[in-house]
Amino acid sequence: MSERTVHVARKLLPLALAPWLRWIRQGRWAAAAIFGSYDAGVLALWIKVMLARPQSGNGLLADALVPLLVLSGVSLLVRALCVIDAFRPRVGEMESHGRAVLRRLSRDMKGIFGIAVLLALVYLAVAAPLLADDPMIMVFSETLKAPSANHFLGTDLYGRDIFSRIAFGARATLGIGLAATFFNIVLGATLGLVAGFFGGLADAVIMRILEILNSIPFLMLAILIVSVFGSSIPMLILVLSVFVLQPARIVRGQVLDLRAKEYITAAIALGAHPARVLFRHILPNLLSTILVVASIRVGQNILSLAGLSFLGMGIAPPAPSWGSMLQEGRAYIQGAPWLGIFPGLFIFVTVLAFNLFGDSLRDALDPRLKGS
Amino acid sequence: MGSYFTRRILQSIFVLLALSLIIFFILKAAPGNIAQIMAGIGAKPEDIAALEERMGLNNPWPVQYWRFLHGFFAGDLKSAAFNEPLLTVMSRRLLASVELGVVVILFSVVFSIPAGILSAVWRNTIWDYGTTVLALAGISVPVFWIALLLMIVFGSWLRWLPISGRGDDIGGFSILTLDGWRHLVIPGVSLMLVQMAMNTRLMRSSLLEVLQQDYVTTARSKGLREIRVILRHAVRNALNPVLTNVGLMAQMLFAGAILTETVTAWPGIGRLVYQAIVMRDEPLLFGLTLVIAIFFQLSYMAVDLLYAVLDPVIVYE
Repeated sequence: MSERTVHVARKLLPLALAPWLRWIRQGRWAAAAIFGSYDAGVLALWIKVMLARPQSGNGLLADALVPLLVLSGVSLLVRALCVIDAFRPRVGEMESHGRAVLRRLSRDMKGIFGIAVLLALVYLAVAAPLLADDPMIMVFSETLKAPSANHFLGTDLYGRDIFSRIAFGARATLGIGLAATFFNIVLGATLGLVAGFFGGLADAVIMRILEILNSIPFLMLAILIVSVFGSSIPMLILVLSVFVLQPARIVRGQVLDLRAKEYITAAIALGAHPARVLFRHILPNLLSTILVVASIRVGQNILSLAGLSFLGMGIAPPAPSWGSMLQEGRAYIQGAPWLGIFPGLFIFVTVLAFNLFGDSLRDALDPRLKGS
Repeated sequence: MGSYFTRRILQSIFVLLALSLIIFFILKAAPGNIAQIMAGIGAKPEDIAALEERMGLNNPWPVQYWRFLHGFFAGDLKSAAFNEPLLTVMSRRLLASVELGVVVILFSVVFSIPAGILSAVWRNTIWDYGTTVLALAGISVPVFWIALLLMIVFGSWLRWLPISGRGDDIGGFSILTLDGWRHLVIPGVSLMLVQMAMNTRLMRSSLLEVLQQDYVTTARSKGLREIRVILRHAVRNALNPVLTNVGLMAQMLFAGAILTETVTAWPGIGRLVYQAIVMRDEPLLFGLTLVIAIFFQLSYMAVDLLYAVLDPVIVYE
């Protein structure tokens, strides 16, 4: 073994095994705590699966494998990034824009809280089969039980464990919320870009569409469409992504601002192709706006989804969803209030985390906007 | 100014017509025979045919659309489920919605203006962070869940307030009776929290912006006391965004309260929308859409007008 190999291994091994140690040394306590507890959670799952008796058949193993691989994959990815970062050649003392954003994000309590909660929720959603029981199993001797050691958030009308239903409900909530936001942002940003950049007829048509959508409450349109065309998951994603076009409005405004800038005029005057102006000069400047809008839209989509499910027009029972659990809880506010408290708390905390993250992201991307 | 509003009105008419067509086609695209659904399971084929005839379902769609549109403005379109003219069905609900909306708007504006002023003045203090956190919580919380929590705490545990519904009324106004107010608390407070949160933030950022302007510096350098600078010079100009926001708040409360009205069984327009959708009451839903859309257009115009009145610098052409 050459001296260099030893040196690299010495530097690399601790990083790969316990990157949080390095973070603690650097004084990045929050990052270390969040990622450290995430690692501990993943490790605990591995131990649990390894120790599980094979009596439950192959079911557990197959169910367990995918979540374990996904969660461990995230762990490995973070380590890989740390290693790459440690061996990155350092050029002077200049800090790249991306690193500056990360640094500001990691100093902001709002952002830290948001990221921590979101990571915990993703963990809960992905590892649901390992952490919780089957959310559909009804135990009729255990109906409407208050929170206890066995069912630590209680049970519902059919004796189903509330925690299990919340854990599996997190999958639907996050899955639909993120998917809808993705399509919503792609569609909205495209429309906004087209309207703002090309103007004329395209702008007029898009603005009229926005006006029509803005003249009726979104929820009303959503309930109507879902009640007419059914509430399958693709349908819910479609409704949540197509009929809210605030992103288009925001992007359009931003594009109009940018178009008036001198460097864009200069690029056009120099004979740059419109596609080049659009993709080289305008799109990169929109990225931070789009990121912030996206993180806030996720929260709004989750709220809308919960509202739809609450009205019986979202994820169809008996599949677990936070909104429909609240609807079931509405009937038992006297005898079993935990039915109405916990699912709502999860919705609230999830949406809050996305909003806090978005807020903090905005501050980090553009410190001048702070507190506005 | 006049030509601006003529153009606005024409635009609104276009939006209303387009929207009514869209809603009409969504209703018509619904799978299943609406007459069969309304007649119920096991209805005789001739009954269904008669119902189809009575509802005009056999006509070509432009005729049906015209019947809806004309019937709505002539006032003789009847709700299929209640079998009454739309105006009769809606008017009482409208009153309930307006009552709730006005109370919520008044209280939230009255509370949030001082709260916003304080958090702008005491910037970066505990109070400011507190209102920031509350405002973020306010936009993150499902409003109907707040209503549910209030029902659990004040309705079920403490038994201070009635759990749901609307109280006694005098001539349709329930705010004239104590019982009416008691019923108003839970839907009102749950809606108010969110509005207050947003208005407080709006007031804060608007005041902070005004405080950076030159005339405020001038006022300070004249030696005026800070409290006078803020209350007499800055607040007046900072109020505009909050006041114009009232128009948008009204929208949200008037029609967006679908969830809150459903969970607290408040008999307003929002709940009627939900009922009309569940009962597949096509004429009622068509009428409700138009009423709500007209209200939205009017409130947008009112906001524009209010801007021009409050801020003489803004001129519409």
